[in-house]
Amino acid sequence: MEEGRGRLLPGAAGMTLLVCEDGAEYTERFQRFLGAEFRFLRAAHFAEAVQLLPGVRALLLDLDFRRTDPALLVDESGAPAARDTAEVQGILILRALRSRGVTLPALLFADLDDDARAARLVADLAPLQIVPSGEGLARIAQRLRALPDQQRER
Amino acid sequence: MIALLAALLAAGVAEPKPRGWLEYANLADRLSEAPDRWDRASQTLLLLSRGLALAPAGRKLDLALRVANFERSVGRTAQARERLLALSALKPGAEQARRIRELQDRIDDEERARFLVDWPEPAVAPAQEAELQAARQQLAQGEAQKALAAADALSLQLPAWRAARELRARALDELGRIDQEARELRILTQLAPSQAQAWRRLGEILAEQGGLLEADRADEALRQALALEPAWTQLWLLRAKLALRQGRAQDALRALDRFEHAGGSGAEAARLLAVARAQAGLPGPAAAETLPPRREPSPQARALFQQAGAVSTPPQSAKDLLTAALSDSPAFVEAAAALFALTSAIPESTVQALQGDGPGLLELAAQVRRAGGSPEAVSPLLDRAVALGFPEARFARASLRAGQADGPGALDDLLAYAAAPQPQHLEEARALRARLEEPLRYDLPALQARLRLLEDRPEAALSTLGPDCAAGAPAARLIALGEVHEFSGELPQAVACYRLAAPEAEALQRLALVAGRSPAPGAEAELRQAAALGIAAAHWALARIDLQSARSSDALLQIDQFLAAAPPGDPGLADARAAREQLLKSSTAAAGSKLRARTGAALGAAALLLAFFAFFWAGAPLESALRKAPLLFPQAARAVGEVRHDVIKHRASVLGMAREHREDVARSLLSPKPASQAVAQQYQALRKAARAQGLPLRRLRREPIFGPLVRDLSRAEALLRAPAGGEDELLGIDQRIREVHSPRLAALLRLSPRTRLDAGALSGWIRDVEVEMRRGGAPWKDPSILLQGRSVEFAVERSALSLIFANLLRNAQAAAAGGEVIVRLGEERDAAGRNLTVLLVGDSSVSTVSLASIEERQSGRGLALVRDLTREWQGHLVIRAEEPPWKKAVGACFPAPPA
Repeated sequence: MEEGRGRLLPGAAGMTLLVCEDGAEYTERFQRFLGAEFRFLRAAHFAEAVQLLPGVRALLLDLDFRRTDPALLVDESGAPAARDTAEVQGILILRALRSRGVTLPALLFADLDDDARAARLVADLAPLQIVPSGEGLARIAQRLRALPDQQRER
Repeated sequence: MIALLAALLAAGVAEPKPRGWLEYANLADRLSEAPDRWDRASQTLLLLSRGLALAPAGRKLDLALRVANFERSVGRTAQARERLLALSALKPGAEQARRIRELQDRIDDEERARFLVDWPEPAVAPAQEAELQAARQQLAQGEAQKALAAADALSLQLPAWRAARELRARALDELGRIDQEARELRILTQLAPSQAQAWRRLGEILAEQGGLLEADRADEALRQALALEPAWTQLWLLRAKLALRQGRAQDALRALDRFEHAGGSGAEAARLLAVARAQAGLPGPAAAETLPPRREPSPQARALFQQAGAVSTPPQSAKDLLTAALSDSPAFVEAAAALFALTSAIPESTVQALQGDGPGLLELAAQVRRAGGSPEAVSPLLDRAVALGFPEARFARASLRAGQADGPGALDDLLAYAAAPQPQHLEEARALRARLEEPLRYDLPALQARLRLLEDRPEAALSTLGPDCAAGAPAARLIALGEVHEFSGELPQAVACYRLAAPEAEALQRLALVAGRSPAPGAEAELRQAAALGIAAAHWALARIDLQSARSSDALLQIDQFLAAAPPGDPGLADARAAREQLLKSSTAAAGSKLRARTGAALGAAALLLAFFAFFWAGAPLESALRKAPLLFPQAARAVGEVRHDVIKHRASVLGMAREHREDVARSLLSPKPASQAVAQQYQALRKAARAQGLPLRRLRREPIFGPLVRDLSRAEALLRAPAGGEDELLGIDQRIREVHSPRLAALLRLSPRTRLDAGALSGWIRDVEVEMRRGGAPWKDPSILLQGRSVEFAVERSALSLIFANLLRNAQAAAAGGEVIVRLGEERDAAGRNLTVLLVGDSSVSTVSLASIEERQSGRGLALVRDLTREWQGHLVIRAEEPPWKKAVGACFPAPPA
């Protein structure tokens, strides 16, 4: 797969990425447009994400999990949580994973509309990038391809 | 039986004989509501005291409560208070204690309302009246200096004479001595809190000249003016300016909203609205305190004083030490008072030293009284302080005289005190006056309603006045209700009330003023009645109806009559002049028939054009609608969220890959239905919701945020329907979605309404719930309030937040059943990094409640309503454990307003 000036990025091809979302929209879209380049797995909740972690190189997280069974929602420690946590479940899943020592790079798809909050999260949950809804898939693909380089730099 | 007793009393039969305590109790209840209760107050109380004497021990307290209520109803509040105080000492049961507290609260509220009553006018001699008239003429002839001199002399003779003070204020205004005018107006409003014009002018002066330090006083004066005269809608603008000056952006927005609801509009309002929206809160400076003059004793005198006060010092030595201290510092008030306690004599040297020090004399008098000095001992001190012109001495002397049963002397002092520039104990003075005077027959509900308007709580004012306007209600109540509606900007309701109160002159006057701002065709008959009575504003109101019905010549006639008769300050003057000018221009333009035909054709074309433009441009853009109708925000936020999530994120985000994946991109945008249609549907749903709130939104094609987005998506869809080509244009659209449309949608979410709650606002809401609960006989406990910081701002519309709060508080009070209740407001951050504002109400009940149980409740009331409203405003319910004495708190968390 070529990017930018026609150079093939080393390390990105065939990378397995875990998509955490309550539906299947991200997974299907990524699969359709980027499936030739990456492998995508889907986890519908925290417990499933933990199971699928082996072999995964990065996490792609939706923010809102309102369609998830409330019994499967978790708080920042991974313990069962109230249903009002659904709308920020993506952040809580990432926190719970980080609290278990998972240091994989993560992309959170969210419109936070609050720069200060976004900066706090990026610092607290590093390595993390926050991707707003307006960002095109082409740019998201660039971010994914750059992940191995960023991991090496770390 | 009751009717019979009442009839007997009415007939002057001195010996009606109720048989049991219950009959006496019922009689007291019935008579406390009787319209003529004042006339038979003493007689009724005599009868009730007989009932008290005969009542069995177990029932005395119940009957005494009813008697106290009767005393309250005839204005004998001091007696009622004393009776209740005695009852409280008798260890009443829980229910009786609650009723005692309720009655005490009712008396408190009524006494506060009585503070709005004017002080009595002094007796004015005919010669003084003539002098005032002459001074008025001088002022009218432009001789302000002479008028001022005359008004000065009259005010000196009769400090509480309002007419002289009013003239003085006007003369000072003419001379441009604004500071002195403001001082005069303050005195005038102290003497006569019902003087709307004085409040208004005072508010205007303080707002324009007073700077930040006077902003609170200015706002208070303007509030008083508006409560008395809601037709002065321009004052809302001034209040908005003041609020902005003090950094109270939310209050400014509220004032502007009231201005708009009262029929106001204009460039200034729009400018202030823009400023208010942009402004962040700023703390106001604390008012400077005036310190009394210092009479510091020397260090030696202080040391001697301390020695004298030592436990081991024998009385004689103490006396010597105090004498020595006073020799050193004769104005040492504490030492003089201590010496008085030992010798019963005030040292002459101290009196001499304080001869020119009013505050010092007052302090000495107070300390001597505390040391057991008789009224006779302190009276000369107070006389001297009064003679020195120290106003507070008037109040102190009035209290002293009241204690010596010198009612007239005390009232004289109180009246002079009320006319003082800055009395520190005016409320206490009013209370003292109420005790001294024969109770007056005030229209208490009307005064209480005014009190509620001063607190900016029109809904509570309506509740005070009783059921809303209905045929057959007394005219005074209908007018009072109309005024409250007018204050709230509910002009059709106000018109309805005034019409029902017609032909009462005051009702017609008010009706004319309202209909001058908002045409009221249904009230034409009453307005003609008003015009016939010489009410100038009625002509303008009729003209507006004529203008609305395109009866130009009738309108012109009415406008001319209005302009000829209206007083200079009439709020309709400017509009009437503009309308007249417009009418005259139109009639000139229609002079020539040929020209008329052409003009007609041109006008027809213009009308068509206008209709065309109206078709496309009618309605408000969403951004403006959100400012005008904050309740639309939740629906708008949902629509924006759906568009960002479903369309922009999951469908349009692939546009940039059209070159490599054209077929997939086309499918993403076009199926199952075109993305542009999905956005259009969201907007149409929003438009429908806005229309339901009485605010039409612009058609989609002309809406500045959704319109261009739909156009771009439609264009992309058109390009993608073709098998190839248009890749560059698609990239351009992709870029616009990222860089233009997405930020615009995000900006809409920053327009959430904001409600700032401080202790004052919270107390008002608590009082509303308290009144309602007490009225329903439910238990009530004043809640503790824990407010984090000076105030907390919620991204929730005020009425929605108030409803959430009221239901939480009602629920907690019901659960606590007379136990402890606490209200907490604060800010916190959750694990997802969100800043939240939190409103919690805790109670001491051991019964538990869970989120699941609230979830199961049927919508519409109580915690279910809290649940639904909280979600509507993007918040969530919480239940937390509380520290003793409370057990748990139920509340709502909302995302903090965006910075």
